[in-house]
Amino acid sequence: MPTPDAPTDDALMAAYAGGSAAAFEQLYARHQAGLYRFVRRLLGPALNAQTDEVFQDTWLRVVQARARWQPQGASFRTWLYTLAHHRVIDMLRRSGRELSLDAQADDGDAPWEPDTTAWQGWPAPASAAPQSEELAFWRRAGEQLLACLEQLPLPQRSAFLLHHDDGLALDEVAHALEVGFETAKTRLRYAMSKLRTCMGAHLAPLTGGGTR
Amino acid sequence: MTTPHDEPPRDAWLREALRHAPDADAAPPAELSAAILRQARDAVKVAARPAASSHPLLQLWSWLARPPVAAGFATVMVATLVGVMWWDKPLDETLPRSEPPAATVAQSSAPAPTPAPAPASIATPLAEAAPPHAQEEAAKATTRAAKEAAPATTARREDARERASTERARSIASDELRARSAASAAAPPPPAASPAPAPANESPAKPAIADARDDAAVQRGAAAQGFAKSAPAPAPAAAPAQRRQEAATLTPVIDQPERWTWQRGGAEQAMTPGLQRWLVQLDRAVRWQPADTAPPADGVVVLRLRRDGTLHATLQLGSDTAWLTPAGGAPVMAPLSPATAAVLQAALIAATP
Repeated sequence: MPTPDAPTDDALMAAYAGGSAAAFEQLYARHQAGLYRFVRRLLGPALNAQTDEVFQDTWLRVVQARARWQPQGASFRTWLYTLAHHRVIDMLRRSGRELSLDAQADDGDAPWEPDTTAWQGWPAPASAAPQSEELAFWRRAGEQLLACLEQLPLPQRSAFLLHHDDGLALDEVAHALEVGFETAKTRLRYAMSKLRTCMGAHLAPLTGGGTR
Repeated sequence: MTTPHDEPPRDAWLREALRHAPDADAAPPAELSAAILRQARDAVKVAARPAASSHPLLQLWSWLARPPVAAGFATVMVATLVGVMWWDKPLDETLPRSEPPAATVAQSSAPAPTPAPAPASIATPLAEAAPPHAQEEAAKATTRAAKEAAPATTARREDARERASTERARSIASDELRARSAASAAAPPPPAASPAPAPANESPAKPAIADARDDAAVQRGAAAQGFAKSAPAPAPAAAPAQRRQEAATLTPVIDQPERWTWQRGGAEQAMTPGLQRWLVQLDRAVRWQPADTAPPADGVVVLRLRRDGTLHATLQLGSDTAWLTPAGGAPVMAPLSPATAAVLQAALIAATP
């Protein structure tokens, strides 16, 4: 994340549009890791080999659209993830995978209720220096989470990753996915509910672990 | 905008699981990052290159390199080139001479003369007496005129201007003569020239341009018949040859004034546009025929024409007759009405002060 004195993403993008290559390098340094991870997780293990192509194509779109870019309505980061999301959809379609962009189609109208019972046997997530046993648990949890993400529809997966991994606010998620706020909120809730269920069913609680 | 109340809380366990996922530290390969950054820099350089050409000459060059500007500039250049080429073109040597409208009117009112080729068998005494080198000299003069039309642009322009001035002078003289002939429309038009025998002894090497000038001189003579009709008509068959003789004597004076000088009693003087106009006037007014009387010693205005300092011809204008005596040749004469002779004398005196 940029320091308080550092120029904003929008300022850097404006500088790059004005001819400053150094501004682009700063932008790239800020967002390359998060964007690469987002693309990789959206594509999933089956299309891991196409991560580099989609990632590069997303940044080239930024380069080509620098003159047209206007910081109106959405921040640079939101716009960047929108470009990446479009490229991922294109890649999934090209690969022949069936896409369901209507995330609520199969989910019924059941309201989402926060369910914390699944985590009661899990260690506290915010421990600063986890023990080796805890570390092994979270690594297994991470592996399991990636497997659970594979089972989510793309809209819910992208909403969850943008909100939980990349730290976008919900309205930014809505902007990035080009949907309404409530739609984004609903997608996120369904994604979290499914993931909790998936994680609780497959990951045994840590013996003697801490509680919330 | 969302508010903290609307923002659903992030699940800390799921975030922690994401943070410990096997791909949490995934990053793009260094080669991929280098390629992306290089492409980003190149895009900025390409865009900045045209803006960097701030030098005025470079800006002018880039402006000229635009297709619409280049096409317009090329069009202007081609138009200028064509215009300069047309300006330098000696029109009087490449285009056929057109006759004034008055000639057409005069010809249409009179019986149409049969086109008669130049009969060499009835050549005038002047033509017969002329030495063979005279025709060669005329041909050389024509060749010289053609060569002189080729050199420098300035000389050609001056030459073209002089010719244009001569043409204007001819037109003015023709108008004057037409006006006079209209005032004295008394006698019937002269009989048409009868067909002449085919040329037998004419030199085939005679330049075509000289032929064209001779024919034009004949037609000009026909146009001036209205002015000369008060004078006794010459023998019809001899007229074309006489016109050739007159043209061979006077046409070079009009075409190459820089080589000619004149003398009337006093010192030798350079050819002037006024005298050129008078010669054109005389050319339109007379019909030469073999001289049966010698020019009188008194009572005539004598004009000597010299070419390159050598006496070429002597012109004597009396009260009712004009005589033309080429150097070394037999004289020809042209009867004039007293009024015409008086007008010509007055004009000659005015043109040769």
